[in-house]
Amino acid sequence: MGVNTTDPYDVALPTPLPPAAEEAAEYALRSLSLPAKIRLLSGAKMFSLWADASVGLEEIVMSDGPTGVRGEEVVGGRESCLLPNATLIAQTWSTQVLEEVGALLAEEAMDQETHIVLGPTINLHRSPLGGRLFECFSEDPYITGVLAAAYVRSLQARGIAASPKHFLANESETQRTTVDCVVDERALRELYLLPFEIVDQDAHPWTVMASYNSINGVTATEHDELINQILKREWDFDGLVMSDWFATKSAAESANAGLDLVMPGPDTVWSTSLEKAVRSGAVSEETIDDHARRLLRLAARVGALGGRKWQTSIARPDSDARREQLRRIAAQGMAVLKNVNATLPLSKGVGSVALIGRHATDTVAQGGGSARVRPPHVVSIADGISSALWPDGVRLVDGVETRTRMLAASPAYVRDPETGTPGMRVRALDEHGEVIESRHLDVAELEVAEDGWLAGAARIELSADLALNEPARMRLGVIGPGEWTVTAPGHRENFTITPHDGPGGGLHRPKSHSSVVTVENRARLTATTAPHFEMRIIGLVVTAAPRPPAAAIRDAVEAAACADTAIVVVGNTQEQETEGQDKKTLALPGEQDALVAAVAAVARRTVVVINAATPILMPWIDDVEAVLFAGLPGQEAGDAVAAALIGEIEPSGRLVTTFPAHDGEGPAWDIIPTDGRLVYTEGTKVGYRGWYNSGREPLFWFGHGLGYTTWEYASAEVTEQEGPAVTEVAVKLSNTGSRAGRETVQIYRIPAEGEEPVRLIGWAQVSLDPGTDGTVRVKCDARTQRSWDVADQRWRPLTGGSIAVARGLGDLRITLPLENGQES
Amino acid sequence: MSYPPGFRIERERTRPEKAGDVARSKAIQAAIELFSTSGYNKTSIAEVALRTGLSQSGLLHHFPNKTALLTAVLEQREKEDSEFLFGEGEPPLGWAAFDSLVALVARNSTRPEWIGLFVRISAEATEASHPANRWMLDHYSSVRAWLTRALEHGKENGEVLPDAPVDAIVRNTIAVLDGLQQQWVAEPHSMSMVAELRVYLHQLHTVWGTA
Repeated sequence: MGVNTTDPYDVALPTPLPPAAEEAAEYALRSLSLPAKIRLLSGAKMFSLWADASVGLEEIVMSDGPTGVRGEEVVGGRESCLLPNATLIAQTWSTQVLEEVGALLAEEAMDQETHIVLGPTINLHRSPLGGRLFECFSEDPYITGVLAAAYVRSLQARGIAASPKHFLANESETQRTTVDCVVDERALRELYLLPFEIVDQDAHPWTVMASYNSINGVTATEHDELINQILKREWDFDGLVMSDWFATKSAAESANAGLDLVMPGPDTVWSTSLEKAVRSGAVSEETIDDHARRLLRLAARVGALGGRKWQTSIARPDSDARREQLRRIAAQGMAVLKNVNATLPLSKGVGSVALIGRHATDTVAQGGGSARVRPPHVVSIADGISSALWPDGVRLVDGVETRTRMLAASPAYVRDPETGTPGMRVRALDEHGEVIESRHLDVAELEVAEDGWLAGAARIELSADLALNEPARMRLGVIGPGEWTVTAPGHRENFTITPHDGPGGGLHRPKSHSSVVTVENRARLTATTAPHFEMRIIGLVVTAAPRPPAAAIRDAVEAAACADTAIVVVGNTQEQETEGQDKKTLALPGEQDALVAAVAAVARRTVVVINAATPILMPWIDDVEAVLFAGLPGQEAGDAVAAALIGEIEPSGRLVTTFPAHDGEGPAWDIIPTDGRLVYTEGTKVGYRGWYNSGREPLFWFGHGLGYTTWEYASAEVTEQEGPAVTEVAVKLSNTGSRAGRETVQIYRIPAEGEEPVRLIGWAQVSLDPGTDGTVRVKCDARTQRSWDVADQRWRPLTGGSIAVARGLGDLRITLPLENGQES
Repeated sequence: MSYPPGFRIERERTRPEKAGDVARSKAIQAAIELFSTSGYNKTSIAEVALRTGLSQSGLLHHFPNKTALLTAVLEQREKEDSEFLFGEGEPPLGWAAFDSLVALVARNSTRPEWIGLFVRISAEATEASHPANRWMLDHYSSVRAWLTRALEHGKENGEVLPDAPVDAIVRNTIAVLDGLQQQWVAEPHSMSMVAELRVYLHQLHTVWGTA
């Protein structure tokens, strides 16, 4: 029958800390003085911890994850593998893929001698407006926990620590450093804590990161109930809890609540006040010992207590092996949302193709914020489709504008005035205008840090000569906060760009300022800026002047009318998919909806490729033949999209979050706090749990995804129970289509009590050839089939109700009634 | 439907109007969001006030009633339409002006609630006493001015036949646009406005074009 099933439980737990290492950590602890211990409990630098030679403790280095291991520099650092974003990876619903991701990240970390990768991000998709959802797995706590556990096990099996984050209730970005999220106890237990609980039980993470926000009136880094009582005591977490960057507000309160490490350093509220708090009796020495013990235990685990040997000969980020992996994972995660008349997969040579849209060339491979990575390359969708499909037969048409904030200039547009090579010249000038240092950069942006080579400059000057084929109207300017003077032939401007509020305001999502100037080839663009109070990214902007949307759409309509197939590539940019800022609408930015609607009205058939990570509105959905939801696909983006479109790799992804049809719909929408409080009024009914039986249909359900074949479900039976919890369901199904395919069999429990929401309790995957059938045994998890009894402070199992086998809740295939928790 | 800045009729505005600009634009933005999610009828002045952060009387100071707010919203939308059609550059003239209407209609087709609003309000606003009457008359005369200039330009550079009846073509085009929208609202998704408009434009080209 060729049945090949996988389930979420096939990875071994990493071995516990060997006794010798635990002893070494204890020994180190006993030989440290109080000030020496306290010193270790704050970061030494932005992304590293203190060494202490007296106990053999080496520097522990960490890097932002989870889209790639960037290293310490936000831009311009080492080239690193850029993975597909978290939702696209999660759309594979595959623990094997998550293990592969964990292994890849571990190797990338080893290559940079980095001990900790800060991820995965396992907050939930509560409101679709959340800016950082692209970095989180799902709206469902169970799939989030299971996928995260596979990732963490795989990473840590290779001696690299994970840091599941952000603990807790950080589901949106508006006022994230101060907002008080008001969440009832049942929702906390059944939704927001559950992924952490699953990861803790199934993968034993070595660290957890506390968030910025408050939960029910107490800030996360001082939350005794969450950190000490639940995480450390109830769950027996023996790892280390670190703060998010600059999140810690107090010394004694946070130390007593169970926070173990304050990041970043060197100057923190602990480095200045914690020793005093101990001397005054506000914090006990036993508490400090517990924090230090956890830190040293972490050191033992990552090999920083005694000469870690770093693996060498690791695959380069642009090696064939990496490119194959990243392309395959991305393509597999992509979801076919609509596909009438078997429009997809496209076959080569079926006629002419118009490839339309800004995202075809400005392909968005990753989101914005601290997860940002410098990839070796990004294969644009235009390049991917052209090389895979119709090298000669693709007509490329630019679409409408998609960004309001410009990116740093493509190296193709700029030349270093001194060397003539692609990139720019950066000069540090003193107060007399003398050059202190001058460097070439092969990208048009860089990070200015307090301890960097530009720290002493009175002014910083960026310059480049433009590389144009002919005189053109271009947008010229800069990115990055600060006071600026920008000059080009016939153009001079002075202005100030303000930073965003909050941590990393100068670093993440830098704003831009540009003006349209008509310039000739080799025109010199020079920008100078004065010192700025915080770390920032600065760079040059050189890009074509915008066209009116109607003119761009006119061209697209003309091309689409003449082609056999129109492929329209649309999507979000880092202005929507970003840390630090939420969305206001799910509509595509700019006039992209108008572009799709215009093309769909004239093309023989229209395929829409969506280059976005999170739900978008599709007011044109009835007028197009096919939709491929492609996520933010990482460095191999274009090749992965091409492989999915022609079916070389089946895009077998299933959505991990429910897509509303209109703004404002769904159980949770508003993310703007009122008087500093954000109340999770929907309680436990987040995502599909709230949509189900709401009387409204979403655009697409959680779990939806068509793939390239069709499936018939013949029968299902409950084959194992533990008390009232269903722990295994056997499902017989067949591939009734004409292509081999991979099916994700989803099992939901629909409780009898109206107040208890429907929930995913298990899934399994099966690959079948056309015309064959198979039986899949789907393991289901009792941890999803319980409700938190607030009065008794304990779990109660769900009883009765029914089991649904579904391809997303909009496509129920088999329903099995349960009687008092027993199969009837 | 809209028209380029050069063809727009700017009304004189008094000093107090300018002083309240910030609150006004916040209220307009709130109304746009509410009208497009809840619709015009279901949106109350109180909701707009809440979303704007004004008291109800504060909002009523800027907009004496919901219709006045609607008029402001329509003006705002017209400004957006203008940016959509013309950006910061010169308005398209000749047949390019008519072709750019295709893009505008495509855009409208993705915002059914807005077309509904436009169709209803333009019917109501034919009454001279209606608060949106001035807006509607301005709207039509601006569109006529732009398309007239477009055809004259087309005659000058030879893409439009010299004997093309400019006024009639302009009024017919507006009639087709408004009529398509009205039918589309009456029977949602019964046809593609973009495809229908292209048929009409093709006829115009064939009869009055020189190419």
